[in-house]
Amino acid sequence: MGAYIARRILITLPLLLAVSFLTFLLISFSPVEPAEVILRAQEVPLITDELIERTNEELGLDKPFIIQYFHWLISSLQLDFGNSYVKNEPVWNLVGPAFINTFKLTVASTIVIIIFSVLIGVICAVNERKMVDRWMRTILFVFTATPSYLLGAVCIYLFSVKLDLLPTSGMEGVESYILPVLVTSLGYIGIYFRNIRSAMINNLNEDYVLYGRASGLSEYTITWHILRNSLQVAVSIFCMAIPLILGGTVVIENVFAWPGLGSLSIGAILNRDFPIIQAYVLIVAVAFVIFNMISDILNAMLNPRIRNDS
Amino acid sequence: MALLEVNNLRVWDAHTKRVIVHNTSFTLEEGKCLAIVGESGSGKSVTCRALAQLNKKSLCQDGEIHFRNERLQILSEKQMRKKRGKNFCMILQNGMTAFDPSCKIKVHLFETLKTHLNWEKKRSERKMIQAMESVNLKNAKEIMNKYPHQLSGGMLQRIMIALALALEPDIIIADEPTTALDTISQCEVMEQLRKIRLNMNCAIILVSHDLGVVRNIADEVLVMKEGKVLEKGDTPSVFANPAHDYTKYLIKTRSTISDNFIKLMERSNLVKS
Amino acid sequence: MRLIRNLVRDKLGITSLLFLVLVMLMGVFAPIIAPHDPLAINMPLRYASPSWEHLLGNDHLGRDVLSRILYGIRASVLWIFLALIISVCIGTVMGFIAGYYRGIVDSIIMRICDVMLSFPVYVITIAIVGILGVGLENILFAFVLMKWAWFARIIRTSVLQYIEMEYVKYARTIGLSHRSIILRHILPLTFSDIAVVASSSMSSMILQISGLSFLGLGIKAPNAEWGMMLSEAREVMFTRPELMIAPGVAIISVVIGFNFLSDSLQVALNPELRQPSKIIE
Repeated sequence: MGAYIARRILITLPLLLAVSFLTFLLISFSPVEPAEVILRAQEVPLITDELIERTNEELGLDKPFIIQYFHWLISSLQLDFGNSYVKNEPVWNLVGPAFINTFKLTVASTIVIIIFSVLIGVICAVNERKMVDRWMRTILFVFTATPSYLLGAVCIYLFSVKLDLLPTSGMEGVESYILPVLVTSLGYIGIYFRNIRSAMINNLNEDYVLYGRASGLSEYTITWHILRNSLQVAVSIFCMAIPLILGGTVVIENVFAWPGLGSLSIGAILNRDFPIIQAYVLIVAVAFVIFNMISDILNAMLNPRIRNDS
Repeated sequence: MALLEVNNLRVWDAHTKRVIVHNTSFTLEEGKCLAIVGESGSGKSVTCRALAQLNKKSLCQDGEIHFRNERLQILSEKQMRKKRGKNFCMILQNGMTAFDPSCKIKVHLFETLKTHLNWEKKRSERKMIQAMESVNLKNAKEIMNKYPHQLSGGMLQRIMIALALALEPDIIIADEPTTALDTISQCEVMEQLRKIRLNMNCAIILVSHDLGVVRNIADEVLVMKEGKVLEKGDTPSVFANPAHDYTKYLIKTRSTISDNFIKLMERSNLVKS
Repeated sequence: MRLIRNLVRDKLGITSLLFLVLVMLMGVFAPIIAPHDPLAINMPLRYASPSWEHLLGNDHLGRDVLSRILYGIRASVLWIFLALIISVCIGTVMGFIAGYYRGIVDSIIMRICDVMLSFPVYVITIAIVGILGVGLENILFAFVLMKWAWFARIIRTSVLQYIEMEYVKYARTIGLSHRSIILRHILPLTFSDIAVVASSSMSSMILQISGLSFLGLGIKAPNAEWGMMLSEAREVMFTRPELMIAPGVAIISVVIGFNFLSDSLQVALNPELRQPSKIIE
């Protein structure tokens, strides 16, 4: 097992390096020069070529590309992503708190997603092709096809405006989590419960279920065994949900005015604040790679066949 | 009084309305061994599962099944569940898939023993070790701590038999217990089944298409084809005077193969000598 | 083709397909069938309720909602479909090269795919829009850039699977050229795999792109796009929530259509999936 984990981590390292390189490379495709953006943001009245050159020098942008990359990589590892062009503040001071806010939303949503997709998946699988199963599948089918911002708007209209139960936006107190988490989760639940349901139905046809029933075990015990085996598939999917949500909250943060990474990056895009975009892409991409690795490792730990072979 | 009496058992698919087992009747006496023979798809397994009401929900069944004069159909699922394992113990065809692949073997064993006999872990373990040793499994304790994929099909088959030993059922339903095994394991498994029968006096329903095995162990034979019972009777008479063409055909094919084998052996003996 | 024959038998699948074809045709012929100019501002008719003249009413600038929905098909469905086709083509070519020639070419292409697939599509799209600027074309570019890797990998797997088939081996032995083996023997087989994957990723692409348009990163105003129409409707959500209905229903029904289609394609590929439960003797 140790060897497997070590190997998996070793594969991940070059991938992380490639990801960081690509993130850095992105900026060089920009049709606008960074120096120009900075000078504009500082409201310099006349932008001369000389001024641009001097700014480039200050930022080290005149050095060869590879050297710039290594500088950036090394300081990024220390969470130093440079200064925001627009706000002239260290990027981490802006990205750090935003990341934490987004992460809170992500964790809360992931917990809700896991609980409900397992619950609904089990209910549907146990009642395969009965009324409950059909209705659940139909309702969630519609939810997966609904854009999250539309769902968010409808929820705000219903719960905040009409019923006046929950805050429309912001991040104050537990009740402000309810709507964003609900809206984030629904789409994912609609996808993941199907995985659990079909995994359980496949397991239902396995011999061990027949033998369990033939041995007189209770339905509860048997369902537990089926769930245990079905969850193996699900654990890796759930693990990948975390970075997906992390990178996908942009729209929801906008709808609910959640002060997270998404809101921050939209602002940065409109202002062409490259260091923030860079930091955002890097953080989410690294999370993606790392969670991918964790999900593989977890999968191996849960599956005795892989665990013992290595 | 017969231990098990089956009258006009019929099984059909609820969706397609296709009948899988046509009116089948047979009886099983205490301590006897009944073999059900037939080609695959002849409804042997479905018949067996119908006895313990283990078929899929999409299959319906009617007819009467009496176990010790108790009508099984009128029992609730819960009462039926108590009978499974305790009164009817099944041994499946493929040991490799019969245990939950993500749990150690002992999980299933202990759960079953706990359900029927309410034994706690210590006692279950002690009894299982005894039972497993009596079916020739050494290092029983170690084996129980392994996962199914770490053991061979023959071992898992014998573990199922050992569990049956510990449960002391009235009927063991063995659904092609040797098909997935190599010849040596086949002999071992059949040997153990024979021993159980002698020691515990429990009845066996053996599903098989291996006539050699059937001839050795069964008291009575039931020949099935396409869901219908073609012939039934005690083993020696069926083998000696098969009444139905299909039975004749089965026995003939079997003997052609073994005759061929004997011929070959003789020839090689001749060559050697 | 077995795939199409099976699909025709599936009522839900064929209905979805016809619906989607109809929607796309309406998008193509929007200038002919749209009752009004989608950009014509008509202030007296602001927030007008549906009437015979304007079947779905008018928006905050008095523009005809029905015409905007019809023209919106172009940005919300047709352009995305085009981007999907381009990335499928790139992916197919790359996947074929990797799967058919194997060796070093294969490992280079697959490592590139690994790197591409370790970025979430959404984040890269945002990055590319951030760097190249706001606009639908940049979003579509980002999608093509990221999605081909996904298709390349799937197609490589199916090529590897089919190449082992006897008659492809036979074609190789009798000395058919690579090109004709690919065109005549492997492409038709992998086409069905491609169709399934493409149809399911179409729905996620529509949702994502409408989300980006909703954020104002997509098509520029005043052009019509469903996500942007919803974003405009959100501004007046508390007073006129009914403006969200038309674009909302449009997106949901098209996405559901693609979801049904992809399910049906999958079943058409493996007919066993449909059977209730196999009877095991």
